Amino acid sequence: MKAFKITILILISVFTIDKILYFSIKSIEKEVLTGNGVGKVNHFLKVKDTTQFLVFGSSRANHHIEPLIFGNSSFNMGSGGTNIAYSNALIHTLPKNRKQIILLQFDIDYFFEKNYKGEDIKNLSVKYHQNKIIKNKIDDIQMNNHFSNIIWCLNYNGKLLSILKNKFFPKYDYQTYFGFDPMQNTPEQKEIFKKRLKKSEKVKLDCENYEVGVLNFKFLNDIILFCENNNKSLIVFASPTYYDKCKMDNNIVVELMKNLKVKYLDLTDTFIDKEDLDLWKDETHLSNKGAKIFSKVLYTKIRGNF
Amino acid sequence: MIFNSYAFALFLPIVFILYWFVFRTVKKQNLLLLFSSYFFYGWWDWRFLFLILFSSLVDYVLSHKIEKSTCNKQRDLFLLISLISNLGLLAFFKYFNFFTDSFSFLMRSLGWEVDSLTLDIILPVGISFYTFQTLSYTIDVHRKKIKASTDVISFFTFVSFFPQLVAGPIERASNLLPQINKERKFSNILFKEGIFQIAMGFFRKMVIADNLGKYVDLIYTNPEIYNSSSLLLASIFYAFQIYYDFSGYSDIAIGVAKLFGFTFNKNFNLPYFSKSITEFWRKWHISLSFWLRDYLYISLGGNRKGIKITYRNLMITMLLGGLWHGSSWNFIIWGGIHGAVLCLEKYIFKIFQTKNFGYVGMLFTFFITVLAWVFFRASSFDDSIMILSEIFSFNFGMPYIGDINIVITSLMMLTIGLLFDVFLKIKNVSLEDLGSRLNTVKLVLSLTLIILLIVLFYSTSTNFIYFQF
Repeated sequence: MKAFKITILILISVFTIDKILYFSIKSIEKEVLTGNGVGKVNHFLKVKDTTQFLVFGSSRANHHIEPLIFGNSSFNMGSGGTNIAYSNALIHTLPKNRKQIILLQFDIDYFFEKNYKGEDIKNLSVKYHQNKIIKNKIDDIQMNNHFSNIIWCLNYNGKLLSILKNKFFPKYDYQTYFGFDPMQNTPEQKEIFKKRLKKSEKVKLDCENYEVGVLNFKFLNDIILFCENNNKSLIVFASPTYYDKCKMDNNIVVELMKNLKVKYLDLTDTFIDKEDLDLWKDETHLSNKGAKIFSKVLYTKIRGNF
Repeated sequence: MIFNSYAFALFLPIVFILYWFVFRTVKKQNLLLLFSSYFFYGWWDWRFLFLILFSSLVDYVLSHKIEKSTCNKQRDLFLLISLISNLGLLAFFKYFNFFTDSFSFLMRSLGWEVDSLTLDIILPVGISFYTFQTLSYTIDVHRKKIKASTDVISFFTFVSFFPQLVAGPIERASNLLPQINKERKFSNILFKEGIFQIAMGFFRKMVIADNLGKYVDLIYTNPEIYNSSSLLLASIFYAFQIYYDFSGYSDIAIGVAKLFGFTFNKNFNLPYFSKSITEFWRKWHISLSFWLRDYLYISLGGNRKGIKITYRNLMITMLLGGLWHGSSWNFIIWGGIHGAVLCLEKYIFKIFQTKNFGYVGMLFTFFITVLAWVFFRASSFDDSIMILSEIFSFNFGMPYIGDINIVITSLMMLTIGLLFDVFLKIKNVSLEDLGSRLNTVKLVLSLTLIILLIVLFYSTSTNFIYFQF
């Protein structure tokens, strides 16, 4: 009987304190507009309706595109560790019928990931109880933690420290931030990159048997459809890579985009000269120097859309 | 089924309710535990259930044969059959490819070309643990320390009892079998201790170990590209990751057993506070180290046959202890390092007439364990050597951090874990009985805090490290 009492008390206590904690964190979180996780999403949700040019994608969008080169009304919503499920959910929050230009960074390698289940959408779980569109997108691919319907704080898993840090010690003024996070090359980082290059030179890739992941294709189609129906100009691009050993996948994607009637730019080989290592942070990420050059290259290719 | 899964979150309460409210006699409860344990194990791969059944049956039959035999030679023969059957299964499933690979390599080094004979063998989860558990039973019957079990259900339950089936603690028959045989009454004390230890176990595993593991994995996946500081930091993190991962698992196992009225022996006792490697092995994976002491080291003669034989026995025990962990030379080297330091300590402590060197000894012990863990974690011998060479090249620049949030969360949670360990050490309290020392309000609030810390800071990981053994 005592054990039963203790169990009930624990359940009540966890349930109650969870809700108190959830609303406390939420009240802090809502004011956080800096930081790459929650703050950036809040910032995006704040400016998305009034911004003309928006960039979506992974860290390769975040670190490679300087939005100010494309105009003052622009925002780079690229985020590390995310993929097309995350971008798809955010793009669907955009206002209907307002003319906007969407630049979507596209990871060719991940596009052929057959086992991709859209886990990256979990990065938006903070907004699960706050934004219906995001909630539906998470539910569509069953990426919600069912326990989070009972223990709400689960949606803040792994994010509390960053929320507190950005609330009390924001590292920049969000009003002068447009979502671009340039990567600085430290001497240690350069050393690491050189060693990585040596290693990846030896790696042989299987450049055959490409099959598009079902979910990847679904998300791409969702984005295309949304843009077509809501007055958005969609431009998709593949970001530069230091080594692109396989070309077959690039060709498949070019063909696919042609069929889907999407404006697509394969910029994998933007930097053919491999000598200048200062342009790179690693094999798939540009340094600040590389990003500035790349943004200008990209702008000249798409400026007709502005 | 793993402890940190939804399946287990459903499985445990169902079995618990059936156990205390539906199956109220010992026989029925044991039967329930047996079938639940097989269900728990079969969740991975039901085919491996036959191995447990085989192992249990062999030792059940042979223990009776041993007990009934009056002739010593016959008793020895039956024990030998048990050893061959159990170790044979272990050798086949765990070491076959390792030995054939090593043999082919040796032959090639000598100039003979031999065809490589490796088989696509899947390692059955927990085979090393339950094999040692059944072996200890048969050896104890042979040594006349315990009587052979007369109840087949009890014995099979002893071998397969789900809380400790896949990663220990390796329980002795002398401790567990009597508990299985006797009537069990629900105890509030055990319940309180159990739920507290389970919660701490999950915190240690999912919050501390899994967060640390993210950084460790990042660095150890490509160790050749990082500087000394990064490798050293990752190695220190790994020392804590494996401690909190495995001790967390043991806490959950011990706690779950308490919910069913069983008391297991302690498996970890704040090992990183040890002031010597000798002390470390009395506090780290206690059920294995005492198993090796009782059934291997002492069987080899222990320290009764002079100092040289003692050193030899220590080395053999630790080398085999290393090999027990996995079929790789890295594990053998890991065991070898510990064996060598144990011998060295024996020698030095004798000269200085001491048992340790205080806090200097504590630092030295931690240093040796971190060094040895490099072999344990690295994916190959070459990687281990490369990591150690880089660390000792003292190229200490800024460590590579990667995701700053992961490192900060890891450090914060590690600090909480260490402070809790310091609290246990200073107050001389055992985690095993801490739950029962708290009144209801304190217990409820502590558990709420632990659960919410888990909710807010848990990190995902595929498995417990010791499952691979």
